[in-house]
Amino acid sequence: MNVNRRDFLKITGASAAGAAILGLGLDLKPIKSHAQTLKIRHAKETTSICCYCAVGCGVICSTGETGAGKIINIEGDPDHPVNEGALCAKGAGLSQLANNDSRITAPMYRAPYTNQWKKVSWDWALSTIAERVKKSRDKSFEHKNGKGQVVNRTMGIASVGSAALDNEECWLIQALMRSLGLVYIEHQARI
Amino acid sequence: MDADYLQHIDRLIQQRPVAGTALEPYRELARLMIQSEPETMDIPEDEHLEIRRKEGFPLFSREGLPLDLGAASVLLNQFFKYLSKADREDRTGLLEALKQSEKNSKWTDRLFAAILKQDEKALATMASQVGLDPRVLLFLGKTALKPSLESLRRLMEESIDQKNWDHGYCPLCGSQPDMACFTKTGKRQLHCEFCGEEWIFARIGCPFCNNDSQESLGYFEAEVEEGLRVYFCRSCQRYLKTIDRRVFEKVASLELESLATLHLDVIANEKGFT
Repeated sequence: MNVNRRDFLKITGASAAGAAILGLGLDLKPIKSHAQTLKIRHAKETTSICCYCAVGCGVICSTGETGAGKIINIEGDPDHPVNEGALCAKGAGLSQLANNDSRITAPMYRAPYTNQWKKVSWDWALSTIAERVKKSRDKSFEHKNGKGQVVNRTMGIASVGSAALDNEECWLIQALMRSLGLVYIEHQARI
Repeated sequence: MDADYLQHIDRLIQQRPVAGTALEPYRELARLMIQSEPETMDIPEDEHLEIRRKEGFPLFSREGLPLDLGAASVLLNQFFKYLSKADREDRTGLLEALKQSEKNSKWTDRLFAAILKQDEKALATMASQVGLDPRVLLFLGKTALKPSLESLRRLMEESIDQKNWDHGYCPLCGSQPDMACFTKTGKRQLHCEFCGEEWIFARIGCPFCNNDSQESLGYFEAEVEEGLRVYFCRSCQRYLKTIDRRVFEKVASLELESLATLHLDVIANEKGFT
């Protein structure tokens, strides 16, 4: 009986199953028929960083190889130095960010004195925001304060940053807000 | 290895009937293994131990493992005796192997040497002489060495630098893993196919070829078997069965889990992984 190197590697390596099957004199039929009844799904794992807050926890995303790479599971990355596998409740529900029928995918507008939201276009939303910021800023702009000191500020608008913003985005936002004269510049993580 | 081991086997058979296919015949081998009392061997002094560990060498080479081959030989004969009573196609070969083994103690020494050195030619020759498939001799020889390997593992427990061992091969004997699990914290723990040692390894990456390209790594699982995955590497075409301890709270031992999940090996092989 001959055994070539490849066969030997097969039986001495991770796939020692062949040796066990033969060694124990097993009937492969029940094992094979059980295997045939199983519905198998393939996936791959990709490491990423949770998008929610500045802690930057590492996550492992499992995406199915069928179904347009849909996320099937997200868990904490045990090898990531920041969180060592742990996730907060929000991070643990991260897959709902992608797989969520209720996810809002277009800008929504609620007009003053109504309780109804309606879908609007990005063009309309951005132009309206710009117009109203300008209007509000012009109306509330203070060149000097009560003591006659030059302040060039507006107390009529406040900015709340998101924890999902990165360092560079935060810099751009605060630069814009300061150029408009805002003094109420806050960040979600401090609230 | 104690009486609990048999209880674990029984529990696995009860919980997962497909596991019984391999575990029922294995139960008697396990019972014989429990009765075996290998001697604790002297550990040769290794003045280069620290350097070896630091440079990523296992504590022992396989052929240098201090094992009680006498006890293993007795056990092997018991296996031959027991299995040759079963209704197997290779019954004559098992009886011939028993004859050789009882007649000449050097025969079992040669067999263990071939297994330890992973000398495929010697193993094939010996198997051919008794008319057995070499994999039968390999499996039974390896199983007969288990009690002695377990005793060595316990003895060397504190000498292994688990925290700093990040290789895909065993820190005790240098062999490859045959099974893995996710610990309660999600870390991946590998199980040595030869000595049974377990060690933590990177969660993403192939322990066989060190490939860590996420594009060429993946896993498959059966939809109804949550907590059991087969990780594969498209670079070296190897696979590793993995059981999740966060799903299966009572994992008996990875060695038993490996035998309980042979259907996953069948699927992996059909998909071209080895």
